[in-house]
Amino acid sequence: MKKKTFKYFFLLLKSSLLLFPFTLFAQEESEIKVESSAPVIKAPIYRETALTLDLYELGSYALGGDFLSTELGIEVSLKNRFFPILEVGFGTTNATEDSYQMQYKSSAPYFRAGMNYNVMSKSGSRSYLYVGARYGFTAVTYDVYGPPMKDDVWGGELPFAYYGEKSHAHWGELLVGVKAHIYKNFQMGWSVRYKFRFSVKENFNTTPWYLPGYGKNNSTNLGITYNLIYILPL
Amino acid sequence: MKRKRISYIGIVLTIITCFLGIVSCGESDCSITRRPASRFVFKDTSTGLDVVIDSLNVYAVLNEYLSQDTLLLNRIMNVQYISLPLNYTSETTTFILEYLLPNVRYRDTIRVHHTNIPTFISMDCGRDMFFHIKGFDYTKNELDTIGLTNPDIRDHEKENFQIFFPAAEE
Repeated sequence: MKKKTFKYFFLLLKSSLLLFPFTLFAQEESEIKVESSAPVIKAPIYRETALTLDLYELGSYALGGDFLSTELGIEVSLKNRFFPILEVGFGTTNATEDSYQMQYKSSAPYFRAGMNYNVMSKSGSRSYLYVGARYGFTAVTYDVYGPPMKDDVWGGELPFAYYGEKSHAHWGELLVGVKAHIYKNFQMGWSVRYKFRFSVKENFNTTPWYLPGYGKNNSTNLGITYNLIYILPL
Repeated sequence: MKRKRISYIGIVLTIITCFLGIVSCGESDCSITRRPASRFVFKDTSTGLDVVIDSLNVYAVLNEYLSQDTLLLNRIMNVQYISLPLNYTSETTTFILEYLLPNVRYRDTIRVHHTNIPTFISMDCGRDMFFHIKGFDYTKNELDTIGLTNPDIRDHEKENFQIFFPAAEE
């Protein structure tokens, strides 16, 4: 099921990105012509503020993924080059593992703060390639339970149920992405993120399996975002 | 200028394709495949070198007061170490080592005191029982002494105890 999900998104990603170059060129060709004849004006430091909505996890969950999360962000454009951004999201899971008959439930908010850097800022376009970095944090409460553990050698069984386990995690992200202007104040964009965990609080009997905003509790993860972006009118 | 932009998009496409390739091929690594067990390695007191026990029975003591036991390892031959499972539901596990010599049998009892740690590993790897050894005691009928080398039991491969035997008489 997961492989099918990825295949589907791979196709979707490829097809949507293939459209990007044309959008980018169509936009920028005309702007360059204007720039060549216009007098040079120093760009203001503050350009605009935008709201972002990540839809990737919603789509992934609808196609059979274990994790559901939504995320909103606010981003400020400084000189159309630096984009400080704050992202706030909420992630949840209610997963069952068939072979071990384990159940895992968790839901928690997460926060990310960081900056994007427009590597095509000189063009002045609203469609561009960017790189960025983030710091992420989540504080999560989770339940994990399953059938009792049977001792095949000595006999007897031990209940296995842990409710209200608390943990927190910090991580970093390095990302690369593209944004394309689609209509009036709307943009869309993809980003791919390499996530690396700084720390996670482990409990005596359990460690969290899912960290909202980070994904599975591995030492590193890869993530994708698909954003709809609305630039607030000045 | 145009070439530059084409290369940017090319870089993004390449990176995203590579990343997706890695993600889609990623499989969970569940390193624990067998029940964690305590490993006892046999040593020579005088030299500290490994020794081989010719023939051995190991019993699990189910109830010390009622003298109930069950055979765990039956007549294992030429052994340098044994891996023994600890009890999930009790914090003391007792074993009897029975050395089988041609005309006689000697027995030693080893009692291990431990904390049981049921542990959730992940949804991919499930759960397991780990142990922390708090203490131990033993009889000295045939063995000389026992040393604890690693109090944490999280697999069935790492050495936890060394059992020292006096040098065999000529």
